[in-house]
Amino acid sequence: MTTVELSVTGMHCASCASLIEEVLAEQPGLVAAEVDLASERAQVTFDDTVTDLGAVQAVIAELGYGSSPRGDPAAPPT
Amino acid sequence: MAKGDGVRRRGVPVVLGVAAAALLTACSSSSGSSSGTPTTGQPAASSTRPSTTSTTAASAVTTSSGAAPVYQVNTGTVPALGTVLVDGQGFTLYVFAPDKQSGASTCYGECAQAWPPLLLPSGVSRVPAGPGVNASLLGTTKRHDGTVQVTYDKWPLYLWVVDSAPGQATGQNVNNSGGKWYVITPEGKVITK
Repeated sequence: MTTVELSVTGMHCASCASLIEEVLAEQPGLVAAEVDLASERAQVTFDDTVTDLGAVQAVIAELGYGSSPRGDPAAPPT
Repeated sequence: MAKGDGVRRRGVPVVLGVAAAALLTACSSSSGSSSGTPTTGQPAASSTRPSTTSTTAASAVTTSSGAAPVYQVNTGTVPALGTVLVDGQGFTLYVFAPDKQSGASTCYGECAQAWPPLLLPSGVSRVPAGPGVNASLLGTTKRHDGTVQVTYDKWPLYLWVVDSAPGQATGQNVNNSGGKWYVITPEGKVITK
């Protein structure tokens, strides 16, 4: 199981976020999807034996939104 | 102005339906749902849709009203999808996800040829609402060519040239012309299944 956090661009209304959640939830292998309009973020959990991040991003793109994985927090300087 | 902008479905030539079907085949990554798509992918060559000048309501229409102008928004029943918005002749209406419920269309050119916007005729400013349609959700948006497209809860409404009869929704959940297409309920809910 993989959980990724994505930055989602192009959302301007609550229904945009709910539509993305709804469509993602219907995708094979998708376990959970939460999209937050205010922070323009999506947290998606999927079974990586069934689907992958590229497929998740493709679904979001089909709805007209951009997405990119949020990077891990910057590592502390050594 | 983009070529093909504002094409009206009733005036769409058969060849366009074939082209649209080819486009669907080439571009679609639809889930191919069972959502009332008895003739998915079938070109409009076998279309039985009424012509632009037809004044006879299609007998197969399962709409909530009888004879009505094409641009009237009615409700109709699509198998597996339930009650959805249809035009005045019973043909299923769609929303384009990339429009993002913004109240403005992003579908022009080839997109608008395959998915003709539901337009108000020149001189008509009010969208007639059929029974079951929430008139307060109806609106309009001006397209690049100056034509006026009907919106519902800020979703611009479109037809799909591959649909050949009322009660069909062959465009449901199709990925075409740059994004997903869905039907919409009288309550304004986009059906994504």
